[in-house]
Amino acid sequence: MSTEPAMRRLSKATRLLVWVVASLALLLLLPIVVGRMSNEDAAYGVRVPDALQPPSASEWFGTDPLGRSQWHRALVGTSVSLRVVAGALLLALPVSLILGATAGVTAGRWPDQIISWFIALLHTVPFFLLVVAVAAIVGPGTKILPWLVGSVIWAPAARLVRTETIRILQGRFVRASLAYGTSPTQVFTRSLFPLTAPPAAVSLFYLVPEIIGIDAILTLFGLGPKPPTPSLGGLVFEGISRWDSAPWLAGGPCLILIILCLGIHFLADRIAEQVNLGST
Amino acid sequence: MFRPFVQRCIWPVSLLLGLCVLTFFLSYVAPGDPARIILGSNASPDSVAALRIEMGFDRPLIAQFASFMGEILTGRWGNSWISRQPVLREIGDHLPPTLWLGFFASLYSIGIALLLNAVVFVFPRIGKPLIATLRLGIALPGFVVAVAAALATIRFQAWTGWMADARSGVSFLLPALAVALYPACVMTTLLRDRFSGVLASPFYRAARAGGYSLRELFLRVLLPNSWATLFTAWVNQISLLVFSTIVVEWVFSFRGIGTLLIRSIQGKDLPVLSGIILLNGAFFLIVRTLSREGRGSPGAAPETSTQPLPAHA
Repeated sequence: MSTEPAMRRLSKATRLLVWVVASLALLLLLPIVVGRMSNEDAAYGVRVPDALQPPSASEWFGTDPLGRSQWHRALVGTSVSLRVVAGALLLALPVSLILGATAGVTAGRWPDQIISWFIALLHTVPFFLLVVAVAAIVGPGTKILPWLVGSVIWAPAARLVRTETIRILQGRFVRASLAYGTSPTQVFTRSLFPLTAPPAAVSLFYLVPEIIGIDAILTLFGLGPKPPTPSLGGLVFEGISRWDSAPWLAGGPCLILIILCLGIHFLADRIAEQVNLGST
Repeated sequence: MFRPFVQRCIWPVSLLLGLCVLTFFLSYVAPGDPARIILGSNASPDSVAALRIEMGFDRPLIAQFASFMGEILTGRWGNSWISRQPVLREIGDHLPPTLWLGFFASLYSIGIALLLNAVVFVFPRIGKPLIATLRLGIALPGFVVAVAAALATIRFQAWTGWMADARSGVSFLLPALAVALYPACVMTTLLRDRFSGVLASPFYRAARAGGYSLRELFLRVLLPNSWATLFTAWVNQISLLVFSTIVVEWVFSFRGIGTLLIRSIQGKDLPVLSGIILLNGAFFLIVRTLSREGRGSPGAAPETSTQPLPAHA
């Protein structure tokens, strides 16, 4: 392991940042890789004679009422849903960091009050309700969904960054380094950013199942991706209505969903462990 | 006495106002002609134009907002564009199933959290595997848990042949279990964390050394020190309850708020949609404000650490 000593030489905070960046990169790569794995012909090609086949060695998740391969549809759906997740997180993370840090630095003064007011406003209504309402008005489609989800999901993370910033700025090490003449920019890049980014990222990672849930409930409202394109949650809801005759329709996508969410949760848990070790 | 009260009201009232602005923009900046949506696609251009003037869609934004606020304050929230019923009556008609579901689900989730934690307190051995399993459940999306639980409930009802009258509250006893399952997992683990904190505290050890029995320890030391946690957890889970309620209403085809929401979204019924959002927001604001006052810490953001749990939906 040649990377081990190199990793060890980095400070704890930097190592955490590496973790966060790596998991973000993974989240970005995953939809592309999954999209490559899926076979578009099998996912969209209608073959009525093969309709509603139970799972077999060639069709792992069976086939749907139009004879399309449920496995490949689930893969396409995963890639579609993950793209929403990745886009939303990539938007929400910088927004929460910038706004949260600004509020924390100016705690109690007007910029903080404005930002905190907006955070509180977003918390007055369940996130999914806001997203669903805007999506209903703007119209269905996946193009706008990452923006929409990202623009509501930043609030809890920003709130976290704000309190962390206030706590860090009161810490002795920050006051000591300021007294030694470290410039505020350096305090920001060396202390504030490395100490607030990982918790913010972790809190966003924990919201991933929820983002997939929003994606799913949009399908329930008829606002998901346009019909031939599947989404993971949409497949589950479509499958549920045929649960008695063809349980594999919902079962397969559910399996992928569960593995995906457990994986992301596990990753977030690992990072959270180190964040907590670092702060105590 | 009076001034602090007013000062404390400014924050929630300003948020309520912000919510009104938000819903106003949702309905009035929406693409598409509202008059066209009301009259349907084959209405004549003349009647569409007439309705637009009659409903005031041609006036400047500020004037429209002023009348919008006036209508909200006087309780005339407009009529549904689909059923032509007043919005408030429409919401009131659909409210009972949702309220029953939410009420029972809250009872269940608090009850389950207390019960499981009492069991873990008496038999500490099962604590670790139990909490680990619950955490696994929390990692799943809430809607999958709700759908799975709802399907299981339907099976159970069919198996026992027990179907109560849909009008009475009793019929929501079982479906509410499906709503409560996911929040119950979250609340159990949160309460467990709090309990571990109390168990490690000096006053707990003092009470134990003083000869309190297990029952007394639970009722007189653990519980009184955990009510606030339980209540905060419940407040944070309400939005999740709303989410699960919609899914469960859909599975059981109840005529609740979720059904109304689906209908109004599919029909672009903006008055009903903004009504639901406004009432929802008002409800959340009241609960949040009360819980903050109850904890006695005015100001923002009490529950913030790197919570390994989804606190908000």
